[in-house]
Amino acid sequence: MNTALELTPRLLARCARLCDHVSVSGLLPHLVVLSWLLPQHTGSQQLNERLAHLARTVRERCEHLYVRLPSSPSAQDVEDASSRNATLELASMILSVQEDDAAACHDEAMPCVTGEIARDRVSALLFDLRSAPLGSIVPWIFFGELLGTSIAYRSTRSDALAPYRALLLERFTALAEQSPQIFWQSLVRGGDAALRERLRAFVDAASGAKALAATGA
Amino acid sequence: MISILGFAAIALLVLSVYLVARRRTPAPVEAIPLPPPRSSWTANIGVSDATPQPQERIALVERLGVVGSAWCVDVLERALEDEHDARVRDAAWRALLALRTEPP
Repeated sequence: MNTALELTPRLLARCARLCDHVSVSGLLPHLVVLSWLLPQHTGSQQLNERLAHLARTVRERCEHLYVRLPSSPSAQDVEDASSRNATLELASMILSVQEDDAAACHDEAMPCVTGEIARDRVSALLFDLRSAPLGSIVPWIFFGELLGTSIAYRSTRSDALAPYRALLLERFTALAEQSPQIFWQSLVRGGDAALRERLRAFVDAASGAKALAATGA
Repeated sequence: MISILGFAAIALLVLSVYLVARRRTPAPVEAIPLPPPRSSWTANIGVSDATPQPQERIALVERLGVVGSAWCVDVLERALEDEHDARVRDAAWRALLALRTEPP
């Protein structure tokens, strides 16, 4: 299932700003970036509405958590029952929905983040989403699966988001082997230079596409 | 003799007025340090510590500026009104200014 997200200059500016702050506060800024880059468009209007609702919920929670930056985050800082239900509904819908159109960005003047959701991966995660306790990293693995891989602008295309997505999923999967407490602590402790570098590479590549968009080249 | 008695009466009168006035003068009160003024804007974002230190409030302001969503702008504007520390207000002002010049 293909996905798309309009990369507005404001969204890109926010990602760039957050990237500059990544080293100081653990994994949490990456969750914020992930919540910002969740796709807007798929081939189904019904799914788009569900995605928009979930993205708003996740974004709000992550942004508040990042601003507060508690020294010891807990399960309720990361997730509540309603957001888990919304995640489960979205995952189920991805597996069942009929696509009416191809996913596409609506504004051709903007660079577009495109990607593909692997239904078999979502299907494999569904059981864990149902059984994992609240505050677990499993929903984040699911959100990581939704993240796009490429930036498309007119005839140009770059896979600059793919390495970031791959490493993010690798980190999440490694954390899934640990206790939830380790995940919560990793949100606010330590930095991840490799992850930051890949986020920076995406921001730089997207800025190049943005510059092209600004000049109309 | 009368003049001596008169002088003594006047002296007694002056002394009694002085003593009464002295009794009415309140004793100096030892200065009690006032608690630092609270900045209520931090409560709006669920910060558990009601009175974080100025440096922590500046860091909060910076993170609000980094995120830059609509709710962050609201909190920054509130900080500009409520904050008593000029350094924190200054940081809020700079963050708001940066966000207002952000691309659409």
